[in-house]
Order: sequence, then C-alpha cells, then structure tokens
Amino acid sequence: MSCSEDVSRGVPQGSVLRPLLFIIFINDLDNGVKSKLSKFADDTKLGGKVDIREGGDQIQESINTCVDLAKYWQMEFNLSKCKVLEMGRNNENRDYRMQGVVLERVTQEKDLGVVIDMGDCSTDVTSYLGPGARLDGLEITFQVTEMSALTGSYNTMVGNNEGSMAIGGKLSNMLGRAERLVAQFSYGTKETSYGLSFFKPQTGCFERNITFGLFDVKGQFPWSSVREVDRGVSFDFNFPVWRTRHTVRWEAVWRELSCLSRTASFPVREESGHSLKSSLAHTMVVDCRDSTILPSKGVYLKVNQELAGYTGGDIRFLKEEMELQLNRSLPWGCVSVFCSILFFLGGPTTIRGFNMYSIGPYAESDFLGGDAYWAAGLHLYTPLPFGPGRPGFGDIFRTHLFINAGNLCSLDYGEGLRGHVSRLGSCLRWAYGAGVVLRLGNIARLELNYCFPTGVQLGDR
Amino acid sequence: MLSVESLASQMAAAEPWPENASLYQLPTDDQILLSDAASCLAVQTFLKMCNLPVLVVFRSSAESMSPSGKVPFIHAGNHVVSELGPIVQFVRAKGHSLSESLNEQEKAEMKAYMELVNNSLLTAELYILWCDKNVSSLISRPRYGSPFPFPLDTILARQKQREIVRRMKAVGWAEKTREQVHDEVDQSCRALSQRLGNHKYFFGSPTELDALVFGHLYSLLTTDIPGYSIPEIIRNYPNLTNFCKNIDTHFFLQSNTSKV
Repeated sequence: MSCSEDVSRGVPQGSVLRPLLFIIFINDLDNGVKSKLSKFADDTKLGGKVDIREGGDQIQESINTCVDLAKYWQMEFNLSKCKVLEMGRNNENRDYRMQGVVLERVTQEKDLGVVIDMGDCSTDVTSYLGPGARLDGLEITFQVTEMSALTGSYNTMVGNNEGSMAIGGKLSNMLGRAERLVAQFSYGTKETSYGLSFFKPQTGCFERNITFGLFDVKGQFPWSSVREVDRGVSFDFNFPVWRTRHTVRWEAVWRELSCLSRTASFPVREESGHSLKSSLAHTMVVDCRDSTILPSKGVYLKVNQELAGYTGGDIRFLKEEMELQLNRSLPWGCVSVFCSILFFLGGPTTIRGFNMYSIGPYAESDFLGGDAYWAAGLHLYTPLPFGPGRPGFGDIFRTHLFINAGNLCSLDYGEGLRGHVSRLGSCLRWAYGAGVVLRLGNIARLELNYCFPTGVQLGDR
Repeated sequence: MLSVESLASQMAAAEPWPENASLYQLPTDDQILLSDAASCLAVQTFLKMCNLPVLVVFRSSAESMSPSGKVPFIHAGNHVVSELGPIVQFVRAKGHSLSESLNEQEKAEMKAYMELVNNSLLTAELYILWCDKNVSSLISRPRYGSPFPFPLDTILARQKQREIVRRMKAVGWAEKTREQVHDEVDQSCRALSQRLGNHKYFFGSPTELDALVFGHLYSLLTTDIPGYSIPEIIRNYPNLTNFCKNIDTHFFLQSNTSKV
C-alpha cells in the first residue's frame, strides 16, 4: 500500500490513477458553457465570435462558469498557463478576467504541438492578415520546407544470377505541382538496364495520377537458357474508386529473345526473335491489411487482366490474374491464407521449395513455362518461441510454418473449361516446411525456410 | 569450350544422320534476300550432293534462331549447325564427305576458290542489297522488315543495314562504284570459268565448292536487280551457265527453289 497524500492542484504525475481522475474531473467542464469549448486531452480551448460587444460578454460568462465548476471540485486553474489569443481585424481587444486576474494576451501560442501565430497585430494588422481575410475568417498560410529538388540514390544488388549496381536520380516537384522525374541506370555483371519515368498527380487528388515510362531492361534466365531484352514505353493512369485502387495501363514492348548458349533446347530456340507487344491492362486492388510485409489481419485482393494485340504489335493474348490473401490474428500468432491464379509462375513469392521457374513443362533441361497456373498456401506466423529479445529486437522475427500447393501446365485450347480445370488439378505439386522470417524495416522481408517438397512431377528440380 | 565442341562432334559421329533433320531458312516469296537465298541454295545443294534427306522449313525468325545469326542452319538430332562451312564439318563427322578423295593440294585449291566466292560474289551481293541506296530502300529494307509489325520493321531493317555497311567499310567495299562492283564480279567469274574449263565439276566429282558456286551463280542469274547487269556478266562465260544448268537438272528436278 502507498501512503496517502494531499493534492491541491492537478493530479499526481505518473500515477496510474492520473488519467482516470483527469477524465472524472474534466468530464462535465462544459456544463452550462454557452461558448464553443473544445477539449483534447489536457488542452482545453474556449472560443466564440466577438463581432459585437455581447460576444465578448458571452466568453467572459463562459470563463466564469468554468471557474465556478473548478471551485466546486476544489480545483484551481493555473493562470500562468491560460492565454488569450485574438483573431481578426474587427476585434474589440477587451480584457478577460479569470479568478479576478486579467489574462495575458498573446499573438502566438502553441496548441497541440502546432504554433498558431497571429503576427504583430498592433502594428500592421491588415498587411499580416492577407487579402483573403474576411470579417469572420482568416487567410492561413502554411510554411513548409520542401525536399531538395534533386535527390540521388545508389544501391547494389546480388540476385539469383548476377550482381548489379543501380544509380538513380530523382527530380521531385519538377514543375511545381508534385511532378516527379525518376531516372535509373543499373550496371550489372552481365547486363545493363535503363529506366526513366515521369509522374504527375492531379492537383488536389494525389491518388489520381498518371505515369509515363521508358525502359530498356535486359536479363538472363539460365534456367530457361534465355536472354531477354525488353525496350518499351508505358502509360499508367491510377485512380481510386471507393475503397479500391484502379490502374489502367497501356504498354508497348519490343522484346528480343535469344539463346544464352549453343546448347539451348530447340523449343527455346524456336521462340527466339523480335516481337512487339502492345497491351491494355486493368488492375484493381483492395488492400485492408495492417501491414504489407508481415500482415496480421486484413484482406488483400488483386485482379488483373491484360489484353494484347488489339492496339498494334504481333502478340495477341488475354491474361487473367487473381490474387487473394486473408490474414487473421490468433492468440498465439497469425494465420494467412492465400490463393492466386496466374500465368508464368515460379520464384520465391509463389511456391517455395522449387527452383525459380523450375516447375512445369520443360525441354532438354530448359524450362518453358506454361499457360495456366494456380497456387494456394496456408501460413502460420508466430513470435519466436520463449520470446528472446522481446520487446524490441525480437519483434522483427517471426517463426513461419507453411503448406503450399500449386500447379502449372500448358493448355490445349480444344479441351474447354472442364478439361482445363481437371488438367490443373491432376498432377499437383506441393511442399511444406518451416522457417524464420525477418522483417527489414517496412519494406522487405527475409526468409530462411526448410522445405519438404512432397508432390513432385517428373522434371521438377 | 574447345573440349565441349570436340565432345559434341564425337557424339555427333556416334549417331547416324537423323531422318527428321531439318534445314531452316527464310520464307522465299516475300522475305529472303539475294545473299541469304544464295547461301541457303548452296547448303541445300551440298546436302543433295551428299544424298542426305532434309526437310526444308521456312521460318521468318530463322535468323534469330540460328546460333550464328545467319541462315541457313540445320537441326539434326540435338545439334544445331549454321552456315555452309560448319555444316560441311558436321556432315563429315557423320561420315559423309565430298572432298575426301581430293589430295592436299586440291583441298587447298578448293578452299581458296571458296574464299574467292565468299569474298567477291557474296560481298558484291551484300553491297548491292545494302550499300546501294536505291536497291536498299526499294527492295532490301521492305523485304527484310516484312515479318515485323510497325515500327519494328523499319528499326530492324535500319539496324541490319548499319551492321552490313560497317562490315563493307571494314573490307573496303563501301566506297566502291557500280562499275567497280561489276568488275569484281567479272574477275571472279573469269577465275572460276578458267578453273572449271569444260569440265562438269571443279574437281571431277561434286564437292562443296560446286555447291557454293552454284548457289551464288544461280541466285545471281535468276535475280533481276534494277540498275545492275550481273546476269549479263555471268552469261559471258558459257561454261559457268552450263555448269548451273547441269547441277540444276541433276539435283533439282523442279527448278523453282529460289527467287531473289
């Protein structure tokens, strides 16, 4: 038990009762107050319109009501912390009294961390208030410090097949309306790529924006013995509709495929050559997750369709893609279910335990990819057992148990929908395992998993 | 790399000539150009002389499919081999050779004449196609770009032209005039005509040199290029035209294989 203590003003600092006592005392402060009273935590503001004499009287009356209430609760206002801030040019500049003392009048006061500055009203009122000020309104100017107009970035990456160094330059707010020009140059051990993009948001609605891009990307894919060069232009229009985000994209890509080696399989060789894709794509995203890296609750849905060939070019296809993720919190962690249906699959964010792009049709040791693909997974993330390093450092780690399943195949267009479904379901690939996930800031995750590939088909690695 | 290739040719020797071997070349009607047509005809003639069956496949992307970037190429078993020289070697590894019976001196002579054909006739064809402004804008670029959609047709044809012109500059042909090109063709025809004399083939029996000379002379004879009179030059050497007629009737019963 603690000792008892007399408190004459305020509540004891740091005490567990402090917030509760404060709420009880402050709750009925506005009983009988006619002026506008706004309470936020321990900051209380009382205000009103003072264009005629009665306005000032009413404020004084409200102050008196508050003082009476404080007396009733056997409390006192700290007069040194009470200030009067007057706004507007037709103010009568009268004195307000509290507990018999005239309150200090200021032209600048900090409220909830924001400095409200009325300038030096006594000397040059009109020039300060600006041309837009009215009898009952003020012109407010926000003064902010802009980011530097030109920023640069430099990073190095080590990927599956090569290391590269990327140099980027960004001109933010290029034309004064939040336009952005981003240039990137990546110099790799094997290939060199470039990119340039221009971003322009609609004034007043940042979510509605357009992006124009130019790119020249080169890559080597040893698991398919392919070298790919993509040069293209793209045009994106982003806009929000209710709680969804939409993107309409037009893209023209000149793709050059060539064989990486003389030993490339013939089906890969047959795909070599130049092609031009011109496509229109639409993407809809609903993201209610609490975090994009390690979500613990919320839903994520992405639907994407791409139609190529009707705006020029010699490649024609229709691509449908759907991704759904459901996350739920459980007492001992969180569970995440995902399901996606798309086109050319592989890679660490889809089916774990198989090599990059290494499932599905193949020819003479080169993987060809397929026309259709589905994948589903169940993941369980829990804090580290016995909680070492918590709270703090240990928070960025999660243990991770998972089961993933999926399949990929080429479609025979004579079969119809029922045939496609049975083919996708027929030779299932699945894997399960456990691992540790490390969250790096809010931008990336690093996973270390041990996997048991279970349903494996001929040719998978 | 060397060991891999020698291993590959050893493996090639172990297998007989596959029945489904195919020869890939560019579509003849609207795409192939004189120089490629001549090279394709030479390889086709060579395989016919060896009596090796091959299925001719026309692909507009044959050039990018080829490991060396040049047509034609053959796909036999697991092997992909492009251009006449490597194909002759590959076929020899399979146990078929046309020049085996020649002595060392004749072999050297044959190689020299093959070089002559590649350095003068092939280079003259490339010069006419890509260095002559009139021919390149009227024939070469539109035909070369024909399988690609706009704007790739123009870009790729221009790229190809730049590459060939650079090569022509390197061998000192870029600044030649039409008369000088006619002279070059005439000189090589004279040399070939003198070597051939009134024989049926250059070395008694058909060799790869016969295939190469036929490929180029036949293509040049049957192609009409505005502003050039190459067929007339060749016709000045009757033994060469007879040589072409003879191979055509002997190996190609229906002689409708090549145009432009």
